[in-house]
Amino acid sequence: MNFSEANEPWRSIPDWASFLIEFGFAWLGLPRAPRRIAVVSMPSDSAAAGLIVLGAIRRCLELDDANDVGSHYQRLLDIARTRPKGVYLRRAKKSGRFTFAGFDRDGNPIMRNESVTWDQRITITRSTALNWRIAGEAPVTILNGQQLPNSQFYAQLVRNGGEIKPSNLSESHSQICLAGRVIGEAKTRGCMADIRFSDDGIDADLSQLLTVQNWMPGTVSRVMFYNARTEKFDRQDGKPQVVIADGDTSFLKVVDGEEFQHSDVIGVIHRTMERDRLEAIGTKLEDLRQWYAPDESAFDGLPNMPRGIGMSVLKRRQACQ
Amino acid sequence: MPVTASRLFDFLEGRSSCSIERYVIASAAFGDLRHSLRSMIVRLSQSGEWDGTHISDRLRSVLSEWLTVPARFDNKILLALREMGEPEAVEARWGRDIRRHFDDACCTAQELVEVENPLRTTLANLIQTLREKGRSFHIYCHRRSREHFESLFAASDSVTLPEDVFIHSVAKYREAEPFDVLLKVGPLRSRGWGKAPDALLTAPRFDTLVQVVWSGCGDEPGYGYDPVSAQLREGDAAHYTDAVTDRYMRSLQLKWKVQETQSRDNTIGRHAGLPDIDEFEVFTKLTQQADLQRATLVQVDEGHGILYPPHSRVLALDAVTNPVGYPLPVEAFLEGMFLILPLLDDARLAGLQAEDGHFSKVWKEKLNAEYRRNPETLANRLWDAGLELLHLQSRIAHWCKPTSTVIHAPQSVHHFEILIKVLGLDFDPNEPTQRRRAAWWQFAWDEVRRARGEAIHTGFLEHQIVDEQLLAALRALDSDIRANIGQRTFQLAFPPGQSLHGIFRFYRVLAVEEGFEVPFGELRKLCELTRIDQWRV
Repeated sequence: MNFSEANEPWRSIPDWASFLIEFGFAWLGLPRAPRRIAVVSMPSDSAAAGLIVLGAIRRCLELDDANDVGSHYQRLLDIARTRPKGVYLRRAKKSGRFTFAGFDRDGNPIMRNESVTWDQRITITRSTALNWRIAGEAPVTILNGQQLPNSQFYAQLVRNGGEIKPSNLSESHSQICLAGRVIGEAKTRGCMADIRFSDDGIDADLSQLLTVQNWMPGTVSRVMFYNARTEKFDRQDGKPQVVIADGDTSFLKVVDGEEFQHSDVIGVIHRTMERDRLEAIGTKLEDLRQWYAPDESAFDGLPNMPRGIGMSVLKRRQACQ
Repeated sequence: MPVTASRLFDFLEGRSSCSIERYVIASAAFGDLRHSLRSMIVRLSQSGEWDGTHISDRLRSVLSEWLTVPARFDNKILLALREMGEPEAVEARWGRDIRRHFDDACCTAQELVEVENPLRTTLANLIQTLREKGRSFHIYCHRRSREHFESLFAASDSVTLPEDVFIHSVAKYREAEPFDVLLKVGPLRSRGWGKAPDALLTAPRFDTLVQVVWSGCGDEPGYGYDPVSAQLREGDAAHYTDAVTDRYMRSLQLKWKVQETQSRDNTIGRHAGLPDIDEFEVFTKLTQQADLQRATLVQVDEGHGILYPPHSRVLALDAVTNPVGYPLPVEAFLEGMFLILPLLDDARLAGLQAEDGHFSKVWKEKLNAEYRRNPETLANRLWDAGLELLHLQSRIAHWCKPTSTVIHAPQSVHHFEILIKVLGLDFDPNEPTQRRRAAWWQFAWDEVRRARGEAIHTGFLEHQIVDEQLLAALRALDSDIRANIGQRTFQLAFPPGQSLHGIFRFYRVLAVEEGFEVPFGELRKLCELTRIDQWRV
């Protein structure tokens, strides 16, 4: 597989990019810990956060139950109960915009079609839940045996990866979160699009491989996107297992964010910044050390860093649980 | 476009180490001057008198500049010294000790004007050699220091320093392709005079750092900071500078080899035996005012900028990706973006602000006339009325300047009131009472504040709702904004039908710079850079 950055000539995947993908992959394989926080420091601005996310996505593609299928019915029930403003549902391959109209005797949500003049009501059951998706979000699964576009790339991303479960390629997953740059989603996407992979005459850029819903609509999404500028998720269920924050400001937002208190956080910063911003990160790490201890053992499970990359990993102290 | 990460990693992989060539320059005469000025600065700053602090800050500013840029030994320091008055007056005000240092400093400064700065000679030779060897190089310096580098070859037709040789900010450094040599004058400091980003050491994109520095000036403890590579302990920072920096580098697997060359010029000077010491270390230990706040400068044109407290959210416009304004943390500002300054119509100025500079035109005309007639008499009248400022005449000349980005006027409301009253300006008693809701000087002062962007901030702090309304107004102006986006500055009136009235001023950001400590009252207003310089750390 070949690699190109900012339209430079194709080459094999360079060590730095390879390291970041392997790092994201290895992170999800680390022994369980209460909560880990890592900061990766890069010598220049780059798409490093996206590459880590890509590695993490690659790991999840191997795992059983790494999909939102099981939890989807429960999510719909939760939404029906709380009825957040502006949320409505769509049915697979059917037109219409549905809002919650109540529950049947078994506790299944009843939906009303707002797009028709007559009173059309449909009940969502556990077995029909997959036909429904929340408007604006990726479908939970692609029907008729279709798969994610560019799926051939994922298999080759890591050296010692396991086999990808084909079903995962047609199901959405919300346990990995990319927290974009605070300057905006467009900048984040643009930066990711600068990295391209090519295999057997086909090429895809990193923004496509990340499967962020807004960047590649109409198919399943294997990553949740958090807009650090507007402080909004691209889906309703905001409790990821790991969040990768792109940039210092995004990291500082995420690490204190209530939604992320049970998630591992990986902040990716670069060192070509003014001292005050670097110190803001240093101070945050110092503050965290009241409740977190350096996790040297994590490095045993992570790949070796190339020259110029620095990293710090903290683990929540057991007594604080 | 920033250099690609791949190219940078290829560069780092290809080198087992980078090097620092440090040229340490000593000069007996300049050493004398440094000693005298340093002594005066320390004593005056400890005097507890406002004029003492003012003179101390002024001398510190000039000396710091000479220590960090390749300036000619011109009469700048001499002029700063003469602002203190005649030697007898200096002794009468500050005592014999200061007078002795004052005399020494004046004498040495006078002698130095006659000689070439040895730092400039060394630097010019180094640049010449680099060019002859065909090595690619950049110079890291403050935007306003550039002229001193260019003047090194002012007499030569064959040697010029093109614009792209200079790197003035960390953002520009980020964009630089790997090159051979980076030239830096002065110690490595992360803030204040001669500051340079830590990335010079932690993310090098050059083989050799050539540093030309005055003897005694040491690099800042812990320079080359990387927040994740080492958890810095205070004790380490204070006593083992090299050890701390070394630890950062080890963790990043970067190696620096340091080679030092010393030279000394003893042609003039009286106290050749005096050791040079680190002024920056001395200055940092001087008593700091308690009410100072750290701030980030957003420079909006060649002569003006606004200081914001860290992490303030400011209306911004990204000309490339986001045509609609949105509050951004000031740290996230990039050069080329627009800073948006909303200037709300002031209730008291109602009906008058449409005519920008209505009051300033009147009082400036009167001030100009009085100043031209007899500057000394005017200065005396103002002083007697309570406007007790040092160098009052030169300040009056400054206030006479026509309105540009800001209205040049006294900084404090009290001084402004005195100025207007001495000029005898007030409303005509026959004017409608509606216009005379306050004194004439108050209207004029509101106009000054408004031009400095001050009026809106009260609104910002007190009424979050205003924020939302401003965003709505900006969105409604989308097409007008797009039409003007090619300009460096422009202004648009709030669209009709909004509950707020006023204008938006759009300033293209020239530079964003951290490392200031500022009195609270000076934050968030348009200010001249020459004034802002005094608050560099």
